[in-house]
Amino acid sequence: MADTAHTADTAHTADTAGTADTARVGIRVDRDSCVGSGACALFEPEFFDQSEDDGLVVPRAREAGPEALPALRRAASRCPARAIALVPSDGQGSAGWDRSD
Amino acid sequence: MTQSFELPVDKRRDVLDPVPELLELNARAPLFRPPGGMPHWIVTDREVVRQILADAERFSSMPPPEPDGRKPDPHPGSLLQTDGAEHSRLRRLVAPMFTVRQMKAMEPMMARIVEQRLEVLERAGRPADLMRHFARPVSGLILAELIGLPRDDLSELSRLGDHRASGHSPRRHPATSEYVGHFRKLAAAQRRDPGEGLAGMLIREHGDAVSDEEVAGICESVANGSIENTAETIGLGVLALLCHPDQLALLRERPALMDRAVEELLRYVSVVASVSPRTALVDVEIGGELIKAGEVVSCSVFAANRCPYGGDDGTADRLDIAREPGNHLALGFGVHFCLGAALARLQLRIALTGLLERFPGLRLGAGVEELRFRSLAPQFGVETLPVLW
Repeated sequence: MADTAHTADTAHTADTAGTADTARVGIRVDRDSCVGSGACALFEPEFFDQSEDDGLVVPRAREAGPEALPALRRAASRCPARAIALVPSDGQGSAGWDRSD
Repeated sequence: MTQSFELPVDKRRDVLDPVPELLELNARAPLFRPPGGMPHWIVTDREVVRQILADAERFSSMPPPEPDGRKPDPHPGSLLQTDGAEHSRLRRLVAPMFTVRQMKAMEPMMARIVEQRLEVLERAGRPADLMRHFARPVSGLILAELIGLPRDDLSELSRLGDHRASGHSPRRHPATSEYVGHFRKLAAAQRRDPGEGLAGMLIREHGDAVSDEEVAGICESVANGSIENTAETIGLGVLALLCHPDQLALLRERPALMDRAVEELLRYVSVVASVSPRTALVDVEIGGELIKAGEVVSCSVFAANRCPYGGDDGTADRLDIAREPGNHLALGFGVHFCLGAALARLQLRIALTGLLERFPGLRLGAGVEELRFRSLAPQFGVETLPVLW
């Protein structure tokens, strides 16, 4: 387990400081913003899929381990609709998410 | 290359590269007012382009008034020229047809068409024009299958499309109304007997909730956004590889780099120099300037992809097919991000893979200085690309 959780936060990544190497990260998607570009499903299929019904994003996981952070950050920054956000996975992450940009 | 003396700086290229004036302007400020007329602003800075394209609330995609002040004709079903809820409604009608999964399901069809055109190219004999025998037919035939367009229509559309690419005011030329009329006829025919393609699917799934005019407009949008963009990207992508033998050799040696190569070529050639204009709905302060309500902004995707920018690693102007696929803007950004992104990526991958496998000795059949470029077309491209093998 690399300590990727401590690399510089991006605009899309909530502060995960204090949760050390074992910090898991919550994955939030905003289907209202999503335009179905498929950029996430294409580059990071492990974490994202597209719905057969509306073409919009369907996350394959609600959270992931810190080793996934670089891939998830890339997915968030590539998303042309800015519909992907990463939040701390501490049990409060599901209380709504913040587009933070 | 052919260059009109009045061609604006963001439309000019030195073969595949930004002209020095564009680099200078970009180094001076993130956006600038070009002399006279429209647009009022040209934006070259990558971050400012991203911010504007992401800000559909303050920047409208509705077409600006004509230079004589006339309001442009309404264009139902146009994905690029709508805003807000109407745009979302249209986009959601078609997005399910363009998912990564749907495109993968069409891979065998695309591979068959690529294979057929490779045969034609080879039979054409050396040197053969890659654009005429391969790039244009490949993207046209795939699009025809996708929409459900008869092949006869395709040759007619490509004739009309050539007129449109000649630089005439796109909405005034007679070929334009014929072109639009063609899609209207397609929609009416599909209404009577819905086929398997996009037009038939829209009618079968949405019935009267989508009008014939909208079906026509959507199909036209998809055709406009696909046929020439993909053809020109294949052509310039091949040219870029042939002009960078080290990169071509690397790709031949490591075919697994193809997906990265496709992203890099999309970025590097950026056939759409500037995305369709945005109009500020309110005063917006951005990049140290004040864009006033009503002013028209042209975002130069080509400059944003190829000029140095803050936070850049200094390699934006270099072709590097092994580069980590980044946040290039060749397919746009924001709610109008290319609907056919997965289609374009897959077509490019299949076409380039097929071409490199079929012709291990592929090389240019003319000097770069002899090539003629399409500087006035909505998509930058090369008229003909003679190749040898």
